[in-house]
Amino acid sequence: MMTGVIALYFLSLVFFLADGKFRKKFLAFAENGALFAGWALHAYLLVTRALQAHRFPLTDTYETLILFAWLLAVISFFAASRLEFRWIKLLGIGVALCLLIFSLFINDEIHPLMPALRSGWLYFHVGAYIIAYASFAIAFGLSLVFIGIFIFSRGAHKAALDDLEGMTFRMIDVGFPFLTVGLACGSIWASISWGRFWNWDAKEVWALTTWLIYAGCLHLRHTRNLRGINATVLAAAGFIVILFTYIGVNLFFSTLHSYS
Amino acid sequence: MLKFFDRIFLSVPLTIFLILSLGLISLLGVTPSLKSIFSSPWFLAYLCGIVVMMLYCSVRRWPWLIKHYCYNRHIFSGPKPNSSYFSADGKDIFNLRFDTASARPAPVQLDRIFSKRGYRKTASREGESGEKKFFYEKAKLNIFGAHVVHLAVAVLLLAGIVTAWGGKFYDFTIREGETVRLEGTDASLTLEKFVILPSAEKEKADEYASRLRINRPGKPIEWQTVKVNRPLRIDGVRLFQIRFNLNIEKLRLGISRGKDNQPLKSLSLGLDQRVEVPELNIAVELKNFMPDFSLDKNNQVTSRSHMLKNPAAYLLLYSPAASTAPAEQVWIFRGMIMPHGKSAEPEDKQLHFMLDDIKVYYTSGIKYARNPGEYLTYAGLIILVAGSFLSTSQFYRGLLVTVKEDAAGAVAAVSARAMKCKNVFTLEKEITIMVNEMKQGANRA
Repeated sequence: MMTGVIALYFLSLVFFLADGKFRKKFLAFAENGALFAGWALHAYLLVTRALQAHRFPLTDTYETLILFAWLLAVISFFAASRLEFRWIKLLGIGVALCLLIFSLFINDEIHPLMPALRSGWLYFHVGAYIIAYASFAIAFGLSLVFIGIFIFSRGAHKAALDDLEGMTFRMIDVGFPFLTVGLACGSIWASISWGRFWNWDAKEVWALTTWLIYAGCLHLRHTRNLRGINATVLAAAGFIVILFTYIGVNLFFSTLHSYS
Repeated sequence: MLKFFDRIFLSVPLTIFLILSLGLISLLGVTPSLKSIFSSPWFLAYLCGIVVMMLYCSVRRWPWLIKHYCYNRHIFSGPKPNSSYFSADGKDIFNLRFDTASARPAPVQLDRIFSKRGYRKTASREGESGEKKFFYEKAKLNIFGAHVVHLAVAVLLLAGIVTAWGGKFYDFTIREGETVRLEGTDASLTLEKFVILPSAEKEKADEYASRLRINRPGKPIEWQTVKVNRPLRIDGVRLFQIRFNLNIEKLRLGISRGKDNQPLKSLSLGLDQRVEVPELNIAVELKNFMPDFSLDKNNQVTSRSHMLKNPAAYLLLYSPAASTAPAEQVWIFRGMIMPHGKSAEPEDKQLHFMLDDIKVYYTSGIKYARNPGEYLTYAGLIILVAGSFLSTSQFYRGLLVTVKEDAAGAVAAVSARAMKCKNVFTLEKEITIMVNEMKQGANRA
């Protein structure tokens, strides 16, 4: 089934590029058709997993990856229509495809859910983080495009760069409150489950670092007028720290979050 | 005096230094050997410094914010709009002329277009020579967003300091039947029973719970259960079920001989303890006790649960007794006779081994937590979430619109100046949409 999802998303990308080149109505229709079919199948995959596991699929790396990919596809579609920039779809679906292909190499076995994870806070904590990560992933893609254009055009195309920068920060604006909700819910859950709001665990410290980077990024932009290449480089750095928090911390540190 | 404090507490380089160094310390503190830095007095003093700075910054800023919030009341009272609220270039964001002869009056049209996009008219003034001024605003609470986040961070750090000063956290274990005194209260706890609650679904691990009897002088005895994610609160102290241990109280190894299993010896021994049996010239050692022995899909030995469903132990058999390397290594089970397969003896004289008496007990691992900063932390987290939504979900927009109609009301000139906006990108998009709507309205007319 996962192969089917990957194939449909890939097909949607092919139609997207063809539509960009030939500007035909049926190509746009085919692109959206493949995308909706991919979503539907992806959603079905998530529901099947939830039914098999008797819980929402949010508890291990495999489950969060496929949910992350689904949300990326959804958010990129809405962001593309809201910000009137269709290339966001290419970024979102492209990254979603990479995540789904990566998930093929991860153990997808359903593990027994340990007692500490049986809490309603899990869904708020992980759910909010995944929404935030999906928004930041799109912001990251946009910032890379900005940096690429900036380097190769040596600062020309100012209007396009301004638009890209505006969109990058709009996506960060969308993700930031959810990042805060994720952090707050995690803290409350830790208090209920482990007895302390904050344990100075590696994952917690890196999650806080991520929050500080994005908070600093927004703060500097709003109060110190941080603009242009510096702003987008900082935004891109934030997502690299997110990737380390999400995957790297478990590889390099012993952490209380070893199951994630 | 105030200027002196402003120079210190509102200093941007100092703030950047403090935040960066806090990040660095936090990252260093992740290393187990350096974890103690988080409870050291200098770290607390450092946090205190940041709290004072953030609170000062917040307190100093709030009067300005309130003035900004109420600006619509005074916008037309001065000679000019306050320049600190408007962009420095002072340019109009649009300047249009409409033929409104056969349409609704320009202010009515404008009001409809602005209202549709969530703007509210908060001030207006009718000037001389047909000039009308309107002040439209939206998402006004956004002004406070970043400062609410500031306040929340200060509250959270303060809660952290209160917790570090007056809080107490430690783990303790309690054995079934044991009574302990609960520190900081007059209550004593007895673990009446520790139970593992088997899960009916294979997707969920077994749960576990401690049944506690709580005894306070002069009060009736209470019974409470503490489970994972279900902490128990007793006189301001919270108890958390963290872990448990399965301990072996008694383990007996039965040795028999021949086809008819003639009992020879029953040994009481602990794990990893080598015991010699001189009369049989062997030594035995038990390792790796499994309460519920099973093999996983990779044929690795594992325990399916923590209950005594299929207990097994790994037997090392030394024959002769003085040998250093075991002659045989085998898993032995309760109620199941395992022959000494590598024995040179004929089958009817072969030794057989079996686990024949196992007694285990559980100790419950409980976390003791007294956190005087608990409610302050909850308050800080709620404020933080509210502040982050306020500061980024919508951005404050204020538009000062001037409409000039000619004497006949046939032509209107509409111009607007925007107040400083934190998100110029979406403001520009919105203005483009609104200008198009105004033009369409005029064309329809």
